[in-house]
Amino acid sequence: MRRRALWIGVPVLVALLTMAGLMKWRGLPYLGVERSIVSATPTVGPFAGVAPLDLTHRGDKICNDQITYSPDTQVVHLPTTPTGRPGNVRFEASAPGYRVTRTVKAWPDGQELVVNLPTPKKPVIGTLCVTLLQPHRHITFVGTYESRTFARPQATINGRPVDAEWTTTFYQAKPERFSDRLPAMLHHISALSWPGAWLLWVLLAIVVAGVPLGVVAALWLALRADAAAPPPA
Amino acid sequence: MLPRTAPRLRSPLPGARAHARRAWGATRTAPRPLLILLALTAVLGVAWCFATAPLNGPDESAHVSYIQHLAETGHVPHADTGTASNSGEVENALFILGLHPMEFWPYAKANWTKADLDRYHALTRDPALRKNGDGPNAVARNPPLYYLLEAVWYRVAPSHDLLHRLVWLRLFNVPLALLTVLFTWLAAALAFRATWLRTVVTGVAAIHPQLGFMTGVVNPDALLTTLYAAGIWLGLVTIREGLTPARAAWLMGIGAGAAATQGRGIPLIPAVMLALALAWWRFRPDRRRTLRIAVAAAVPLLVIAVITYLVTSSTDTGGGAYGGEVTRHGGAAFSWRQFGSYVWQFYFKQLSFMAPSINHVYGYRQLYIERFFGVFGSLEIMFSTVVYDLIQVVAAVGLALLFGAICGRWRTHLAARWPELAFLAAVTVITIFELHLAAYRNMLDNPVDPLLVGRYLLPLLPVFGLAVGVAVHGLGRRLGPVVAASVLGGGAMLSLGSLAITLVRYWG
Repeated sequence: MRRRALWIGVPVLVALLTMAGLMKWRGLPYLGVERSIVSATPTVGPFAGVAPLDLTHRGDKICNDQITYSPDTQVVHLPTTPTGRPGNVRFEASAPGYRVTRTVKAWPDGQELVVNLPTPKKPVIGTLCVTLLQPHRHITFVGTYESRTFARPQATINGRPVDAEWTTTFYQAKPERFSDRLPAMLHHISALSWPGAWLLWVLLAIVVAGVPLGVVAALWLALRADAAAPPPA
Repeated sequence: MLPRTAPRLRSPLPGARAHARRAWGATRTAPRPLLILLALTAVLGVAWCFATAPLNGPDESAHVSYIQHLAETGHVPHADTGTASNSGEVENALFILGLHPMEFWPYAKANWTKADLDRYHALTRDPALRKNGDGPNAVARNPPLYYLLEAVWYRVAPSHDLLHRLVWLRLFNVPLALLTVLFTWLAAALAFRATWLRTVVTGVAAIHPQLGFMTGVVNPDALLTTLYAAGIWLGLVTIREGLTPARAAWLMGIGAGAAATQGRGIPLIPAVMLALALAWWRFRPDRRRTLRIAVAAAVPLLVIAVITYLVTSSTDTGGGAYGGEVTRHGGAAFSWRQFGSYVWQFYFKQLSFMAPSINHVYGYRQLYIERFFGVFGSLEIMFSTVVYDLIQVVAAVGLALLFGAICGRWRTHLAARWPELAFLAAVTVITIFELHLAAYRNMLDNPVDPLLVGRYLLPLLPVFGLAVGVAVHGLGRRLGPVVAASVLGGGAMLSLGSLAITLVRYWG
């Protein structure tokens, strides 16, 4: 029986290690490597066509309301399309107890406007605005009319609501690995359901240890039962 | 004088106590491998309930809205009319918490901070916001059985918060998955004497990543899978042990239940009718008994048909419970020649006399390898290509082994059991034929959308498990368990890997 157990345990172990290696290096794109962490997506980008959101005069101002600033919203990315005449802009993030103003000069035409942000101590909801500072310049931000992308923020240009969603994405400043992200991931799950994060840790431990061990145990017990059973008549 | 011992208090629920004692006794005597596999199913099912972001399963917001409207108002939502597809509560969750764009954008994240949740709760206090999702609902033409059961569960859930209730609605699927695995074991017990083979058959079902994923989202496919597993097991029992009125009633009840759960359950009815016919042919009951059996079979079919009609006739689903993927029909004319060509080219290369397929980019690999084993969320969560390559190689070797095992053991083991094999083949062929037919009809309207995804194959999970069992059985008593261990080990890793990529996609 012990020999049979070896015959079961070894293939399971080999299969597990092979799959684990495959998963880590080839199968799961994020498991073994550091990656940029998207921390919030108030409004996502378009699928098919870009809806241009233009700032064409000095003082033109585009805003998104209902933006959540949190300790994770460390860098904001605002995609633009090429215009040939990008100008300097003022970036403003404001919420109760939180205010950031940055002037951004000469970023590459048509590339993302990237702004590093100090973060609030606790999450707050506020507004994000960009103002064109120079005359005879032209900036086109990326927007979308697609219903699949509809989200909470309302975009305005010079105070007037626009139908399009203005694509806004927040990142964390440093890339992280899957293992680094686990506590945050379980915390996020806990926020949108009822078990506490500690209970999810317990569940995770049971799954990670229990599934491989359970498979081995089930097969081993089955073979033991077959060995103990009387031979068929 | 006082009695020496106090009289024993009678249990207020003697029946329940006896039932509990019997259940405990059954559990103690149940095969240990089965108990372990059931435990694995439960653990994976519960984990999946939390892994997929709220309302981000396939069409989950529509399914939840159906259940909520039924539970809150007693009415099925409209299919084509109404004032709101989702209730105010579901709509707030989708937009205030950012769950709506997540369905389509792989990098999108939910708004999960305390500030977002406070805003959501502040805007969602009014109970009236739970009752205004009267339609149009994209799944309102689905038959009502799963939604009726979930609506009862919705009412008894301990929290009124939608996010909490959603977890409870998902957890409802865990017992269904346990039943699926139990019926798979019972079917395996009819096919194999050896416990290790039963364990392999049941194990590939228990740790199948797609079963776990569908257990963790609100979707009638969970109940459909269970009913199919029950139908397959009872069909085998009936063919093997004989036709009785009770078995006929249960079989037709299960078939009708599947049809009342999802349009894709309709093929189970002809399949179980074939099982009844084979059992009748095998055991030849007399005319009087045949009549009793026929009546017993007809009653549940009629009862479920009437209930389905009554529940759905109050809405604009046209009194019919089937729509969308089952009866959708595009503008172009149906052509059997084109359909045949499409099915051929789904599996094989185009022959010289064939026109190009209506959809030539979606075939065997996409359905049976990629989507059956490993595409999750709203079809955007996938492994890397190399994983599917490996699965495809293993599947090809498995099919060759299965063919070899059937050929090698036909005379000695299988020929005498041809009615059971015919039933299993019929379930498989009828189900897949219906899937292709529905897909083809849909593609007449929209050739880009094949409307054929891996979870549609989950009802055939017991057949898949039995096929794996036959294949490894053919390898003999020395090599068979080793290969079986490798298959289950690989499956376990696939299951854990799918959970990991889902966690990263939604929560990382």
